Amino acid sequence: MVILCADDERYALDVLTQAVRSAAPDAAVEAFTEAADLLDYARCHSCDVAFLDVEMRDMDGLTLAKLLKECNPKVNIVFVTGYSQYAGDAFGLRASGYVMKPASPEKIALELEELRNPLPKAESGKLRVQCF
Amino acid sequence: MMYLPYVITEAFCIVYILSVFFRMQYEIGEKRELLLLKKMIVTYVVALVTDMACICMEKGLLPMWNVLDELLNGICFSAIACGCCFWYEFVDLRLNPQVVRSKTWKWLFRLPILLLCLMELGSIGTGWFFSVSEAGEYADGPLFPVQYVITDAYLIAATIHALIRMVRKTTTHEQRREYLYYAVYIAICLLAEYAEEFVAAVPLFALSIFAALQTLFLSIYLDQEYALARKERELSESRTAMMLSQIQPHFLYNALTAITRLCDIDPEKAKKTTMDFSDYLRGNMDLFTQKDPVPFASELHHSQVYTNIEKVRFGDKLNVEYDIETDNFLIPSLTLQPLVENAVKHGVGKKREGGTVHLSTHETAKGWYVTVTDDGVGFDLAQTQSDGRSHIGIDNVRSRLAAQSGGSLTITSVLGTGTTAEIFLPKGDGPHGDTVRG
Repeated sequence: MVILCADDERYALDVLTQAVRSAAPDAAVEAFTEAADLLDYARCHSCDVAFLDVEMRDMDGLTLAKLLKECNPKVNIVFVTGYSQYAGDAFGLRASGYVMKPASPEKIALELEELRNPLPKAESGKLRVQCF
Repeated sequence: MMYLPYVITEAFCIVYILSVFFRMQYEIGEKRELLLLKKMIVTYVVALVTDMACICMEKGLLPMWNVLDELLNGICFSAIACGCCFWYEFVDLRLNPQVVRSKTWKWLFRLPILLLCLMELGSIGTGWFFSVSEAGEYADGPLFPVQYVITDAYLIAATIHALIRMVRKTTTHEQRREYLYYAVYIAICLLAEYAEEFVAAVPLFALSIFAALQTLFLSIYLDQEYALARKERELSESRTAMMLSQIQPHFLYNALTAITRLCDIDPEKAKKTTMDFSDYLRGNMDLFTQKDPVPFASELHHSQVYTNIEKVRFGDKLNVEYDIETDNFLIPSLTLQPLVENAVKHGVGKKREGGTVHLSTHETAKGWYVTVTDDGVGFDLAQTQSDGRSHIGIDNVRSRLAAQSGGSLTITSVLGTGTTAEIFLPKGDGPHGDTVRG
């Protein structure tokens, strides 16, 4: 599982990535302080979940989410914000979820369990046989 | 025919004062005051009507009936006596609005007047205070001066009461003027009463009371209007203050998020930021409750604490520079803070590489200038004015500056270059424009 994190505030980003790492120890986590960098990354790499700060200095999170969905329609977007004023917009964007700052491992784990586009459970490494 | 203008003037007074009386049915002024004023008007009207009837009888305009004439005279004098008593109660109420007098106190206080009224009625036939001869001639009785002594005692007591209160140190300027008026009313009425002996054609006494009642009514009415206007103003003032002191929830949680991280990597800085944060919350509350301008240093401190927290959040993307030439002046609270917040949030905060907020003050002969400059993204002033959104923060800052200090706010902005907000506070504009002393 590849998880992207974006927040223009260094400390807030640290809190977020820490929480993500402890909620999903097996995931590959990429952190960005700038929206443009995250988009550059997403254009040439695959990703499964993106935790995005709503208000960033170079781009607001909603625009970033739209652009990200354009290059990766299956990505699960989870907004991370200080205040729930954008919840309506987030629904409009078919976001997967919403996390209030400060992000904690518990909150992140909850979001990862309830993703909009659940990931195939391939990482377990065990063989799965399905009969119809 | 000397009595005709006299009677007509009295009739005019009755009609006019009754129109005032019926105006008072509406919700104007304090209830107890209005009630007393109504009582005074009633006694006044009773005294005038009986006086007019007596004169008409004595001058042969109405058929003479001795006992009725004596009764009317008794009622007239009693009404005047009651009016004097109510006058004292009115002044007492104005002097001590918080005090509610007990029933016992009221009736003990009215006792001399009640006795006087009884004796007035007892004069019918006995001629204690007055008598009316068979021929319809009115004459003062042997006890006549007693009633003057008693009624005047109430008036003079009220005057002395008001004058004593007037010279008290705690009395405000407006109250002093009001109390002086009370003393003057009585002086005029007593003079008129005395002068009436010489000017028989004009009811000077009745006119002077009329004028006093009319003025009282107006003053009660205006008091109420002023109180209403003041309440309205205070309400809108506190509303603006509330709006300005509203802490953005984003700021709150973002600051706490930064502190969360600092606890792991730099506990010392976490501690300092937590203290800054609590200073910020407290300062916000303190400044919010200030109705008058505060020393610039307090407002500046509040902005400094705010930028300290924002600097923790934004790191080297936010620079703050100070160039404080003078802080020896007063400024309406929460007027600098919103400008700094705007510069950080909308100026520097929207620029990719961050920027600098520069805060400076300087003094000229005309007044003080406080300038907040940022080299952030800037905005198009014309577009902002027509974008249909209400810019409550800036409008509130403007109105507070103007209302409390006669000051103004000028904002200039260049897209891509930055924004400058300049507060101007003129010198010597009322008590608030003065420099901080001591």
